[in-house]
Amino acid sequence: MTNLNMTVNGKPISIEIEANEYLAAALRYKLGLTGTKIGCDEAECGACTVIVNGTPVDSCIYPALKAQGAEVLTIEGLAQTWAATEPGVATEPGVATEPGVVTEQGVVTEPGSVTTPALHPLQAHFIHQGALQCGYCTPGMLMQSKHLLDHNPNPTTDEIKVALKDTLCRCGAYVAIMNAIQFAAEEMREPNAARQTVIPNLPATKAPLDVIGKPLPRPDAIAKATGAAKYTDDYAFPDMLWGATLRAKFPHAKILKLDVAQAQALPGVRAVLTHHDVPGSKNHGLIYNDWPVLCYDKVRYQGDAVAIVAADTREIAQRALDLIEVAYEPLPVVDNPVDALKPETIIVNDGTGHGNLLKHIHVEKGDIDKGFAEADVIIENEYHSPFYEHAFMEPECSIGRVLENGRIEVICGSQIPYEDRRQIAAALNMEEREVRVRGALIGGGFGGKEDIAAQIHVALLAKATGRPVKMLYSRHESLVSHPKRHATVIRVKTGAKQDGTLVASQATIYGDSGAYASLGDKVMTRAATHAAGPYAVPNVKIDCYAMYTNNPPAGAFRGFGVTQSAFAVESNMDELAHQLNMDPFELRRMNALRIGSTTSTGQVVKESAGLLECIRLVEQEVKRQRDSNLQSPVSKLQSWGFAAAFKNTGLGGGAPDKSAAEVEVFEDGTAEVRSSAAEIGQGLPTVLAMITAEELGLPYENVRVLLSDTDLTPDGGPTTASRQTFVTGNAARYAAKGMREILAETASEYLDAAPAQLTFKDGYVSQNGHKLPFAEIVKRARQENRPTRYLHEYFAPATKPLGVEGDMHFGFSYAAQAALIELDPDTGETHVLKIVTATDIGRALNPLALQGQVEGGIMMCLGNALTEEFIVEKGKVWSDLFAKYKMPSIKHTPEIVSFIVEDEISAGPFGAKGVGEISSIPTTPAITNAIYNACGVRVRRLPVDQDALLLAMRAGKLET
Amino acid sequence: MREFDLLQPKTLNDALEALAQNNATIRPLGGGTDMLVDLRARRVQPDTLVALQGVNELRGVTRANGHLHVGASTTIAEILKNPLFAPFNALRQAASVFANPMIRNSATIAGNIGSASPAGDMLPPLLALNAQIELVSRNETRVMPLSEFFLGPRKTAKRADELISSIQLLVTSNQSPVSNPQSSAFYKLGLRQADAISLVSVAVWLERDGEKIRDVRIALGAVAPRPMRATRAEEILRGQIFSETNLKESARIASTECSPISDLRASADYRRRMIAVYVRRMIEQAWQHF
Ligand SMILES: Cc1cc2nc3c(=O)[nH]c(=O)nc-3n(C[C@H](O)[C@H](O)[C@H](O)COP(=O)(O)OP(=O)(O)OC[C@H]3O[C@@H](n4cnc5c(N)ncnc54)[C@H](O)[C@@H]3O)c2cc1C
Ligand code: FES
Ligand code: FES
Repeated sequence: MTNLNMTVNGKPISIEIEANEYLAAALRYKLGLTGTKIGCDEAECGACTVIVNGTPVDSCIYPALKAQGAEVLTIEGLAQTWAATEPGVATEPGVATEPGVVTEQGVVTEPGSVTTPALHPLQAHFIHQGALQCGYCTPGMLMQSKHLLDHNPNPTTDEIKVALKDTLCRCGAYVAIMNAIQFAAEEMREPNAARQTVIPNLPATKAPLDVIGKPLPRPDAIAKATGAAKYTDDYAFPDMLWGATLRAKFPHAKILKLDVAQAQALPGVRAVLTHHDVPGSKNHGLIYNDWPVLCYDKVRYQGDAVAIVAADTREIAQRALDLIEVAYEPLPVVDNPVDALKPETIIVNDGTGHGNLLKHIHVEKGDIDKGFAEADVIIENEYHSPFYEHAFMEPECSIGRVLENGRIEVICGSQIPYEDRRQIAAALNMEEREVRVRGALIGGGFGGKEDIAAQIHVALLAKATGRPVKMLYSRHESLVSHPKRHATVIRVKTGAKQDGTLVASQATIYGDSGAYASLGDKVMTRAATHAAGPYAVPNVKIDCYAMYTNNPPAGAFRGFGVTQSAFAVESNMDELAHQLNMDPFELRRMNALRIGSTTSTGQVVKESAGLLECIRLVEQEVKRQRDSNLQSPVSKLQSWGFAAAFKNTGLGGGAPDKSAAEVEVFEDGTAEVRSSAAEIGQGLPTVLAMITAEELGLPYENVRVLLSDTDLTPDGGPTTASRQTFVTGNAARYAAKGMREILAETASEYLDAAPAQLTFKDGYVSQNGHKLPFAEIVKRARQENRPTRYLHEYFAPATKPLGVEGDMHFGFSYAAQAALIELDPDTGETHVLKIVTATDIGRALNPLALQGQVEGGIMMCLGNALTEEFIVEKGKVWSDLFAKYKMPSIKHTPEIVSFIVEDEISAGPFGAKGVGEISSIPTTPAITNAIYNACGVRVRRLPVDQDALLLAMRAGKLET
Repeated sequence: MREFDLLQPKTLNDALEALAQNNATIRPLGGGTDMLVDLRARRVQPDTLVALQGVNELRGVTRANGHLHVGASTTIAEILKNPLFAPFNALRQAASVFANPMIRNSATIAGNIGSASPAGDMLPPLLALNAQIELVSRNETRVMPLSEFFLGPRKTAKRADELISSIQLLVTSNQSPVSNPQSSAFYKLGLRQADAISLVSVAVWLERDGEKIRDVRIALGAVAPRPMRATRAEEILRGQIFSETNLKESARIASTECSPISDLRASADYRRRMIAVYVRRMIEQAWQHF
């Protein structure tokens, strides 16, 4: 131990430190300055950026001792640096929050005014521009930006791109980030001018109501911009132990022997548990109970958990893992879904009783043979897509502890809190009421935090030791263990008449669902039901096989299977347009789903089908741009490409889709809305607060949101299938309406008017010029012993299972996109210059949050097309570091021109339907179609490989 | 993570003394951008690190006797900023695409050489500029051409008790009068626009005499077990008129001189082709710079 003396945010600090401790960890765990985030611990993501002696550093690889005598600035001290140059501005100093102090509630987002002067201009403009979503990258992003502006008071977008090149935002808020930095720079150049809250340049949407439809910042934005926001690893408890997991050594092997004696004997180790120590259900799983809590007979993928340890420190826990002896008998590795289906292949997992076949999904409509017989042109191709990684910036973390009364509490960032509770209780052989799951803020999910990660493990370890236990996955562990996007092989055959009318569409899809089911069958069902594209095709036959293999499990991932099938269908559609010599916009328009059309599953579209309008807007914009300026640099090829897509909102398929929300009103004129629905960056608290404020006639700032605490909030169901705005939004809306009706009873007596005639607006209840403050009504309602909270359980319109006549989904969102790319014919390198997008989401409840979802979805799908590939070789993960998984950074950000189509859906809250996934679906085929238009080569394998592309171009081949 | 000691010597002597203890698991630490990442990933496990940050003798860039003397601890960021590097365009270009501004503030030139990765971005420019490397230990100082320093992937001529103390670059060519203009260029090709690790990199240096290329050096990265010179390709151009035909031929030869491997990032064939494309593009670029 050495004494480290440094100044942190202006305050002298002295701590004891080991030579092998890094600054990020020292700040977080020794000083409680948890605003500095750790995303990778390998200098790849920039989340941990702090400023040391005026220079930004990746504090995760900065030995703490190097900061001896240094001035360190962290996010907690950022506001202060501005206030210091601004006399007279009051500010909160960057105080260390005591580790170990936790509020007794889940994620409460406090109301607050974002015009507060105590924010640094960067913080203020990040908030107003919507430059933060999940917020996990925000502290690093802000510190890096501060350094940029310190040295360059007026940076161009290109200069910003250079400076922030490796500071990653997986929510893809890059456009907003660039705008925010430029507005902040402007403000900082004129330090005496009052702060202007600049409304970002957003696409046109319908006129707003009192609250709904306004571009309001997120209620949790200030906390996220100042480093005060708490994610799971930001919590600490007295006497807390660190947990660690022993992962499988082989992708497929029998466990012959498991000996933990040596590990147990290591000083500082408090518990070592194996499958023998799982008192309840040995398996867990969202739909199928096929995933061992701790492996007992065999291991099925490299990330399988074999044993878990709790120890006094993280290092001791790691060392204990090395001491656990496991003898394996390796088994043959099944590494692709096509082999998995062959009868002679070894069975990896018999979770559903059908061997390696997790699920065969069949979609049929009309008569496929007759359809192809009628076709003048038939296009048939095979497409391949690899696994993809969510790469949420916050690695998984869970804390388990035993409460006074013997109950177990688990704090984690979960997309489905009530599901976690069910699975934890089952494994621990406890009643669900004995388990409390509290959601912390989530640093991105994208579908990757729906399954159990360490939630059960920390509960087991907490129970075994009686002490709080934290498990924080390293990036490596996160990469090898959690479910991915399905790798697929998709064969699509499309038949059309000479005039372009689609007559038949057939597809065979193999989906690699990896070692465990996760949500594999649902994901592949969506891939199948969307495999004819957003078109009315009379004859359809789709067979999809979701297979078990020894690869990492595959599950939910933004787009939910539709990303993969859309790439295949839209490539075929583009090829069809070329064969028929038709305009690709026209071909899609002719066949697009519209009111009265029937989908592949036999559902008649009755309302809210804005695809035609999306196509029209994109076509108009592309043609305008194409005519005005297409000057390609001589040595490069430039081209546009187009694609369309649709995506269901809600679970559908006959699954009961419900959510509950509770609204409580208080005598201070505020309200709180509660639901166990996860916020993964998409902006759910904003939407719930807005809906509640609108219905109760309260200012937006007067509504708090409490999410994800199974003791305090009713079940909101899973955050998946773009359903939360719709389902929980409706629950909140009806709860608020119910609350209003009760308050109206009280108010009607004092205002002498029928309850239905009262107006709730701006914090007052009024009638004919008489008005009473909302707060006053609440007070009086209480005196009258009326309830001040109202719970509503909302059931979405019923749906039918696949294969049963009727509506499989209650609604769909639609999108059309065009991409302008530039291709270097000598090297095959491809860049996306521009994306034009139009999205039909029913109603824009908050145009700012919506823009974030649209742009973020596009960035993610751009990665899907060009930069990302989660590589697994014979069951062994190659992409086991961020350095080996390249996601788009700010420098890949194209210009994005966005249009919003608001074709309202009657059952949606104010007409809204899902927005979370749709924008991330058509980008890939729009890009690959543009590549074809540039060089005449069809991309059949994702991601676009410059090597294969060049090879094909040089060999005069037509496809990769 | 394994525990280690961090020594922070203030003088070169102290640093060399520590290394002379000849402990097999003692390692110098520059900016740490390679070492500490490797350490965290448990790829290396030294007992002791000797941080060179505080050793003044290893800092500074000076010009004397027609040479630029570049201290080992010179950061990549400094190469971009310090006007003394202006004559060395290839080095500047490499620095400008090196990692990101934050890493550049820490990463040192000696660290890039010390890591001896075949894909190290500063290495082809240094080879093309005919850099000399100075190594010091408690008992001896030796200077050698950088081209002799790299023995294989991550293998170098440096002994465990030695430190890289400086790099020397010739500001004017010794075989030719000062009036002959010189120019250099560098390009790094990344996979899928992600330029963290080069698929191939190319640095060229030219000395012009009228319409002729009087002298030329071509260096390639990431296409052989160590950064290499493409000497046969140079021969095609040396002393010849700058012409499209020579250029093409030289580029073709360069692509046959290297020995790239196929891996998950790209095929050997693609890498060869890219060498041909970029040798040509870089020579054209350097020529246009005159
Ligand atoms: C995010 C990221 C991006 C990167 N991008 C690039 C890139 O684009 N291009 C590129 O080339 N590299 C890149 N790197 C690798 C790394 O930054 C460089 O190799 C850098 O130059 C190493 O310098 P350093 O001072 O940090 O070396 P260190 O990590 O301190 O040391 C590297 C090695 O050199 C030895 N060493 C250091 N100094 C001396 C000395 N004076 N004498 C003898 N031996 C010494 C050390 O013992 C060690 O073996 C990247 C790294 C990261 C983390
Ligand atoms: S760069 Fe430090 S945590 Fe990712
Ligand atoms: S807001 Fe940037 S990663 Fe989520």
